[in-house]
Amino acid sequence: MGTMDATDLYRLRDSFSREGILLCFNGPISRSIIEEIGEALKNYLKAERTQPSAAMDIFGAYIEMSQNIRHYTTRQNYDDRDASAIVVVGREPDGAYRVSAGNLVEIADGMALVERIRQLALLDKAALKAAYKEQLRAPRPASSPCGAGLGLLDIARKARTPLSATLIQVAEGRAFFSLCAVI
Amino acid sequence: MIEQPSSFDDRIESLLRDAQYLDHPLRKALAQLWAQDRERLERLERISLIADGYHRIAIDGAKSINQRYNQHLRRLEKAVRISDGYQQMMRELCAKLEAAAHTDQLTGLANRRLAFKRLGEEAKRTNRHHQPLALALLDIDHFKRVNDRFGHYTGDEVLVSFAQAIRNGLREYDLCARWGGEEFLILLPNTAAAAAVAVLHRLQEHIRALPLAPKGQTLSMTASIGIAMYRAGEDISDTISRADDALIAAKRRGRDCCVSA
Amino acid sequence: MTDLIIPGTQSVPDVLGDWQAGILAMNGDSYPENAFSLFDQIIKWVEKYLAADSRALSLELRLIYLNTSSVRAMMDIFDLLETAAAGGRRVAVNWYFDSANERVGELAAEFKEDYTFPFHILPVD
Repeated sequence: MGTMDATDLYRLRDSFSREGILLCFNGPISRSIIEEIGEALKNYLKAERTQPSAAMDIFGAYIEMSQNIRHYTTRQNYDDRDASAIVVVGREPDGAYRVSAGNLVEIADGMALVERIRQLALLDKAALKAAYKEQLRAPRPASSPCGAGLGLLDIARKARTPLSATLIQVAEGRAFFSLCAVI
Repeated sequence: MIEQPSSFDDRIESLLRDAQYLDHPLRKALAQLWAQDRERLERLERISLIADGYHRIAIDGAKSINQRYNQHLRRLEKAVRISDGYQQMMRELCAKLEAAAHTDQLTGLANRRLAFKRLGEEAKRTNRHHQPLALALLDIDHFKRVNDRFGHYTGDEVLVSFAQAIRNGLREYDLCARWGGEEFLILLPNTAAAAAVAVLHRLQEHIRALPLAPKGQTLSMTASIGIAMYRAGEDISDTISRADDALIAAKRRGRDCCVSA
Repeated sequence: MTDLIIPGTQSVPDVLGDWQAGILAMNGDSYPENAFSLFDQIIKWVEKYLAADSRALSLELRLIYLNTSSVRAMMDIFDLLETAAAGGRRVAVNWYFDSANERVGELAAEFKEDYTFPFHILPVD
């Protein structure tokens, strides 16, 4: 562990509050962690008396994002360190929820993802639905070669604004990919 | 054998009065408990009367304490159920009122008030997360001619069809508001310039292809659009100003086109 | 002739395949990371049932949140039903949902669009 003391922790908590962060996880993402944080999220949404349909959309975005990361890191056979991810759920001042996740990817996969998200952003409601149905029927191994087909479409259909994606090169052939959805 | 309710009260009273139990260790405790019980009943009765002032019930002195408890408890339960129902109604009414206050009556689109509200929210979000925000003003070309040719009633019908077309021609994320008589404001959150232009060009194609036939006469319509990107920290009215300048430029350029500020 | 019983968890629905009654019931959320291992058993049970004789099969669903892997898997099950229906088999889906959560109704309706066998979506108060 680093040299974070009580003041640093206080500042971290303060910055989380200002950012509206409710839940945050950073580390190797396991199936049980996804479920536990999921439960915490469900409880928060219930306590806030969120509409059941909105709560399901927010929960769904969180599950799809986290599980996408799990599927990708498993497929890539990343070790614990590389399979590390960061998942954040926050709340905007206007009440909207922000679900974000970031993980390490192969550069080519990252670029394909960013491009896919850029294209998805242009689609209207009907086009998104059609793309979703098409992806649903696509043969399993071929679908989502870069790691996010149906899940991504699902999140895009529920989002209030176009999805944001960024890619930062961190090492030879590797980059940090992050996705953010406002629900 | 189940004891009669009122005789239970009498039995306690007589036990408390009974001289042989004056020094009984349990007597003081029973007396306190009894006094507490009566006090609680009185408090319950007060709450019950406040909660359900519409139905005065006669406090029947002959009834036992337990009977009176049950009577007031039932009243309170009923009052709470009714109150819940009213609260639900009020919530729904408030939601309807809010929706009405934010909707343009003719077209059903968002009105200026809602547009300003959303603009404020999206601008804040942009400033917080450094995301792009595109704003566009759309004006129907030569709409005056429609009114002159077909009358205002038909003009309104064309406007409604137009508004629907704009709504359908945009993405789910985009806000479309009625800004003026035949002017619309479009907000494209988290959308950069290139994507905004792509979406709005597609919208213009959608408008050109609109099968309008007021009074049986085919009508082809077009729209001019001015686009401006929100600049971090600026006042929304400045963004709107730039979009307006771009719209004027689009009109000057011959209409049926898109100009970016 | 075996029944299928899968106890539900947080992320896995309660599943009961009652061979005698000709009913496959599924209740709850479904978001297992590996939907394949859960749904494979269900699909095999449905295939066995449809191959065994010619009795009717009814899906009684009280599913709520489905992750996309579960959506895919449910589609596979519905595809089996569609094929059976095309062969003259009596099949049906009854999907009950809490009327307060219209999203579930919408999901069910989107499924229904692609099938011709009896598919009932029933809001429950």
